[in-house]
Amino acid sequence: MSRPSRHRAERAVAPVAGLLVFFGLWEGLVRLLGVKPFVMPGPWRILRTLADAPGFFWHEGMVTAREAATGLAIALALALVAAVPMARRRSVERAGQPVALFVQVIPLVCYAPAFVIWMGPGFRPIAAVSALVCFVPLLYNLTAGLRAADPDARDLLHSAGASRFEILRHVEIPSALPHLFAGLRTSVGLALIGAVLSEWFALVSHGLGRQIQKGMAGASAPLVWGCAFALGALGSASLALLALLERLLVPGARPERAGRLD
Amino acid sequence: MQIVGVDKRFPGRGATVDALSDVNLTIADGEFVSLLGPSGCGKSTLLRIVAGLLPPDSGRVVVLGHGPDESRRAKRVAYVPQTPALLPWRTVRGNARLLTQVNRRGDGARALDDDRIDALLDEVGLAGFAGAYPRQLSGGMQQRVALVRAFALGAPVLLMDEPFAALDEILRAEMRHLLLRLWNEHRTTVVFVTHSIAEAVLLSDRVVVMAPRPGRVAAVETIGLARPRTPEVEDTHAFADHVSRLRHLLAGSPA
Repeated sequence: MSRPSRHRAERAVAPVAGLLVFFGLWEGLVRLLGVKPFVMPGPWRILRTLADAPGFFWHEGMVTAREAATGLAIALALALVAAVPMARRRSVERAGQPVALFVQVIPLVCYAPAFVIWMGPGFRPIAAVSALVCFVPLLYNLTAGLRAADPDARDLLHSAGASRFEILRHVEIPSALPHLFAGLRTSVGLALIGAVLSEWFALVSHGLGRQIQKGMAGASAPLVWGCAFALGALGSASLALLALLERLLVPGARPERAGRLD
Repeated sequence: MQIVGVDKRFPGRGATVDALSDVNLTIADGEFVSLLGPSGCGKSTLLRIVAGLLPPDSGRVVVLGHGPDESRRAKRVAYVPQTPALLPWRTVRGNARLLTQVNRRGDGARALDDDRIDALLDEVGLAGFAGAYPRQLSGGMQQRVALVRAFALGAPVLLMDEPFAALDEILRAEMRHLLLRLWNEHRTTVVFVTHSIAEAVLLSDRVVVMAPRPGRVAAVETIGLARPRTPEVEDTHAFADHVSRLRHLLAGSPA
């Protein structure tokens, strides 16, 4: 086997091996110590719970995914609107920073009940809380990204009479994309946490958060863990999708283009 | 081009810095003028003021009958920054065309069309690299793309801010002659900022020697060497005389 292909095989196998060892240890300990499945199921039992009712977990997962995705999309739109003036003027950034910090340090569990009281039960407060928790990391990353644009490139376009929008479109937004994706990677997890937690307060009948609540009430550890695994799958799939998008949109993320020709 | 009584101060910690003090300069159409001086003499600041990137505190700049801001909007000046400033997500061809694709209203009929930009890329030796990305290019090749991008505007005035400073000496020599060749064909007015005496002598019709604290014009040296200038001109006595006189002027002593 040639060196690069061996390298590629190793890169594909190592993560799978890591997961298998982790689950193997978990399964082994649960069995060795004789822990009852209703206290702490092993991964095999959890996967069987998922396999027994795939439609149920899929449906509940999609409810939560829709809430988190809506929140993320709202947060992204708002962060873009706020980041442009913050990146352009230090005074706007200085004014915005304490607000962002204030929003960020309030624990998530406080927002959920407050938003349910404000907006009434249902989908809307859940998406709103999701949006709120994603907003600040997205804002920070976007502001830093817009500012990271090459000042010479900015001058260059300005010297040819380019408008602020043209500079934003041709220089600043493309420069901000790697930062934006870093922010999105953090925010995917936050959006899911926000959605799951808000479902507990929003008096909804579906969603993985709601099912976790039911599982706790019914002392069903396999249901709780099944939902946890479903959330893990949802988060991983979202990250994979983001990685794919980044490869398509950010040419620099493609390692095969890094070689120099001279 | 006229620069009349231009002052520029930068507020610093404690004392303000006099970047430029009462700078006066008249440059003829089609003339190649270098601004030569040590770091901190305000030569880049002056160039940025002419480019319309920085407003002067007092005094005025007239480029072909218009102020710098108007000229900028009408795309009458092409600016070459210190770094190539290529956009990494655009190909060589995409970067070369960039300035013709923004501010389309300002263009007039001067800008080169895509075919002529491609031809210009061929001319500077980038024929096979039009589809390549900047990170695949060497520093010298990147600077060639920046030159093509500037000439693509077809602007009557070219402002260059130490464009070859980051290159090694061999590449710099190559780039100087490439610039001379392109200038010979397009005959734009050039204001060229440099801290290399030999570079200023080789390229220019006149060299403006600047001095720091406050930034000002200390002397103007007319370079009488015949054009077109070949690499051999650097071995002549006249060339050496100019270099020596400029070295004295820079040191502040009489030649």
